[in-house]
Amino acid sequence: MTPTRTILLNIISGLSLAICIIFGVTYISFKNANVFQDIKIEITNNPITNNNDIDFMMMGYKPYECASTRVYGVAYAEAGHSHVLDKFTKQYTRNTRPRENVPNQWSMSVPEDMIVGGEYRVSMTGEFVCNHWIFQVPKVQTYGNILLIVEPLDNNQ
Amino acid sequence: MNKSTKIEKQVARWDLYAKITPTFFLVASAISLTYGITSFDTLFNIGMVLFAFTAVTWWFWTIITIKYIIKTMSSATTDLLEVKQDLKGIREEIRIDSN
Repeated sequence: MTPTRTILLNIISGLSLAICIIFGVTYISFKNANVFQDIKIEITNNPITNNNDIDFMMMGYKPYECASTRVYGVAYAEAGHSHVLDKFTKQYTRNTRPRENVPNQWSMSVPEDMIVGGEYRVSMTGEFVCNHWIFQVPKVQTYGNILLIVEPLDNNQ
Repeated sequence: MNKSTKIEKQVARWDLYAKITPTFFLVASAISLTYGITSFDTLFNIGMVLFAFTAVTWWFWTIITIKYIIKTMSSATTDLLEVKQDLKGIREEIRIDSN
């Protein structure tokens, strides 16, 4: 084998190895990253009265391009039972810009079996599909312990 | 085949493996990703297994080879010292004879 060919083969194999390592490290860091960083979700109209909707506000930073496929909440009562919150009365902004702090808001109706009132801890869960370079990974992120107080409907009427 | 020749051949094989494997893996990954044969996750796991296997094999091969080289060098040093001692004796004998 001529010296030029040897050098060329060495360069090609070296570059291939470098590409493999860069892709591997990038993939593992992308796969393990959370969808949102510096995230904060709050209910802005506590306590919920008069059959009003629950207003949520979120602040967060998305390091990668992620699109939500399903978003829902679960309200856990102190007594142990739980209620699924999945009826959006006002939609959240979808596909917010990555690498920027974008505030987001949405409203959800109070499930019928929650009108008796009480104190709840809400967990909001989002299912996403995230893209980075040639990678595509499904991710799930949950933000828990959001205080929700629902006034009994009878007291307000 | 003596041990040194064996080691030389093994070095040549390592050289070939180091040149071929990364490029082959990269090309095979690109083809399988393009045609949707495997996911990136599977390729990543295959890559990690290959990497770990190569690292462990290389490590043990290096240790065994170094052990052999040290043994050869040590034997060569002992032989050289013996030759030096013999030469010293011969020189002494020549000196005595010339007197």
